Amino acid sequence: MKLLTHNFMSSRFLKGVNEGYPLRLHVTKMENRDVEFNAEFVKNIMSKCDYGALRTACESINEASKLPANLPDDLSEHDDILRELHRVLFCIEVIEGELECPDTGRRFPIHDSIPNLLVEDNE
Amino acid sequence: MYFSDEKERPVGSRYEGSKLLRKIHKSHEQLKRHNPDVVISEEPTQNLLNLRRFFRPLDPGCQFFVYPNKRSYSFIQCSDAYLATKIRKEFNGFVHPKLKSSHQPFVISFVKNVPEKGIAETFRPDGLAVLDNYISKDEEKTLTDFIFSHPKVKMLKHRAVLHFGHEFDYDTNSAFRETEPIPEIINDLVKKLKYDGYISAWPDQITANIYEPGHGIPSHYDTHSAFEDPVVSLSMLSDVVMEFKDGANSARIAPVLLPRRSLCLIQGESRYRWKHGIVNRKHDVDPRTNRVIPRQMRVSLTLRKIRTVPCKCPWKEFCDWDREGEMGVPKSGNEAERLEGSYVADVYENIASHFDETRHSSWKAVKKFIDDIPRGSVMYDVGCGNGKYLIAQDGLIKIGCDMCNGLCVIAAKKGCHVMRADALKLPFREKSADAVICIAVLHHIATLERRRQLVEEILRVLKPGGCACVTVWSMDQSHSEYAKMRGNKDENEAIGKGQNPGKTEDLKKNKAERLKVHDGKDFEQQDVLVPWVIDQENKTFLRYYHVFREGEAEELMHSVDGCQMVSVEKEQGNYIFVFRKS
Repeated sequence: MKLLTHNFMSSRFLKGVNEGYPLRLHVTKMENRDVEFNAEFVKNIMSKCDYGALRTACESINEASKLPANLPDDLSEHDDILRELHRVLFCIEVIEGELECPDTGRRFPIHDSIPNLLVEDNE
Repeated sequence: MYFSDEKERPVGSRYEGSKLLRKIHKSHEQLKRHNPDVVISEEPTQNLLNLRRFFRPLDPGCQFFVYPNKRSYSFIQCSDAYLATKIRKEFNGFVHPKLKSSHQPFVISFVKNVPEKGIAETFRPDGLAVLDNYISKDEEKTLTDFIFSHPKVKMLKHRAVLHFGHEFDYDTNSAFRETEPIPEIINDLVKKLKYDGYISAWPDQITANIYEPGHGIPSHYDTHSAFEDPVVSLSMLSDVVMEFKDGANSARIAPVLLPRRSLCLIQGESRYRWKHGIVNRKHDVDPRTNRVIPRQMRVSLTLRKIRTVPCKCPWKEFCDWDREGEMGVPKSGNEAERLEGSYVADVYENIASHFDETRHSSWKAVKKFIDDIPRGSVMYDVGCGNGKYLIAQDGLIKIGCDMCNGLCVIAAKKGCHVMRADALKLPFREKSADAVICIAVLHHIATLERRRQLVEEILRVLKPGGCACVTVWSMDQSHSEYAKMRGNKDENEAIGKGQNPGKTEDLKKNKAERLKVHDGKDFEQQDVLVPWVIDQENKTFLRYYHVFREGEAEELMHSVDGCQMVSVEKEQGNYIFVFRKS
C-alpha cells in the first residue's frame, strides 16, 4: 500500500462512524521502491490529496522530517518539496501493518502490501 | 478430401494420370500424420482407404470407419480383396454423379490394416458403468417377446413405451400413479441385479422403451426429486451410442456405446450432474473404434426406485428441488450474502489466476468513459479484478478494490493501487472520486435491495457531478461472442411429448424461484449459476449471476435518490450504463 492510497481511504462505511478519516497507520514492515518522478503529476495529485492527512501518516512512520508544516502556494517552484512528496506518496510501500479507524479503533490488517477492509455484516 | 467450395467440377468426371497421383500423395501424407500405425499397401488388400455409402451396393458386407468433422478420410473394410479391387477400379478419381459438383473425387488406396483405436478421447462421467453381456441371448428373447406382445404398449412421438409398477408422467418427469404390476419375468431380472449388488432397493418404476432404428430420446436428467440413485438400464436387440452431456457445459459430451444385452448403471455424478440421451439417427459411430454401426430396432428396460424423501445428493446445484431455500433465488439480505459468499467470493478465490490469464481486453464503452475523464482526476475501480483498467499510466489517480484476495495480489504485483473491500462497504472518503467504474460486479449481487445499495455506495464516494460507469451481463446474449462461441449446441428437449419438463404449476413456480445452472444456451431466467471451466484441471466452478433484462438498469438508476441517468449502451451481451451524482 502506498500512502497515496491511504490518503483516499476512510472507515466511514462502518456503522456509527461519521468521518473515519484519516485512518491511523501502524507499520511493521515497509520498503522503498524506485518510481519515476513526474513533477507535474505530483503537483496535480496534491490538489486532490489532503496534505494534513498525508503529513500525519508520514509522522506515524517517521518519514515526515522533510515535509513542511504547510504546503507553499507556489508548489511548482519547490522542486525539493515535490520530490519529497513524490517519495512519500509513491516510493514508500507499506508491506505489513495495520490501519485503525480513528472513531472506533477497529483495526484492519495490511498484509503483503494489501490492506483488508472486509468486515462482518453487523459492523 | 471430399469438400471444396472453391472449384466446380463436372459430376461424373474422372481424374487420371499425374493429377490423380498428386491427390493420392496428399492423402497418404495426411494419413501418415494422423495414423502412423496404418500401413499403405501397393498390393490389393481387403481394406480400402476412403468411402461413401454407395460402396455398399458393390460390397454389402463392407464396414466403415469414419471420423466426422475430425478427419477428411475414412476407411472401408471390404469382404475380400477382390471386391476391394473392384470398388477401387470403379471409384478412384471419380466425382460420383450422386455427389454435389463441389465435391472432390474419391481418392482410394489400399491399406494393410485399419486403426485399432478410435480418435475420440473416451472419457466417461464418474459413476457410469456399462456391463457387457449382462443377459444371455435367451433371456433377451424372452424379455423382448414379452414386451412386444404386451397389450398396453403405448406410442409416443418417436418411440413406444410400456410402464410397470408406476406410470412415468412425461409432463412432470416423475411417477406417482400405480399401473401394471411388475411381471415375474422382470422380477427375475431385479433379483439378479440385487444379487449382483447393483441395486439395493426394489425398483418400483420400470419403463420399457421400443426404439425404431433412427429414433432416440432427447437429452435429459432423470429428475432428482422423483427417483433414487442409481438408474439402471438394460439394452436389447441393438447396440446404440448414448451421449452423456455435462449439465454445466453442454459442449462436454461423452459418447458411450451401450452394446446389445449390456447393463448400464447411471449413478453418482453421471446420474445427478450429467444429462443423457440418444441422438435420432440410423447409424452410430462406435466411440472406441470409430467403426460405423447400423442401428436395429432396440428395446431398453429402465429400472428406477421412486424417491420418497427429499434428494440430498451432493450435486445440489443440478437438483430440481431448492433444498429448503439453499438453492433458491435469495429473498433476504442474509440469503444473498450467503449465496454471494459461496458462489461469487469463494469462486473468484479459486479461479483468480485462471481469470487473470483470460481477462485482458477492455470494453470499448468503458475505455471511452475512462478516456473522457479529465487527466489528473481521481478514479476508483470497484471490483477491479486483475487490475486491467488500473494498469495504464494515463495521468489519472486510480485506486481499485476487490473482495477477492487472489485478484488483489495479482493486481498489486502489476503495480496497481488496490485493497480488499466489499463493494457495498466502500472504504473510500465520501465525495472523493471524480469518476468510478464498476465492471461486471453488479450482476453478482443477489437482491434488488443490495443492487440498489451498490449504486448508493458508488454515489456516496463520488463528488457531486462525478460519473460512474457500470457494466452487467444482459439476459439477451443473442449478438455476443459468447453466444457465437457456444452456438453449435443442440436443443435441450424434454423426453416425452416434445414439451419442457416441469410443466405443472407447482414445478413451474418452483423453477422460477430456484437458481439454475446455465448450460451455455439462452438464459431462461435472470438468477443463474454460470459455470467457469478450467479445462487443464478438469474443474468446474459455478458463479452466481443476476443477468439484466432490458430496461432494468434504467429502473435501478431511477430508483436511487441523487442518481442521474446519463446513458445505457449494449455491447456484446452487456449493458454498459453511466450515471451522474446530482
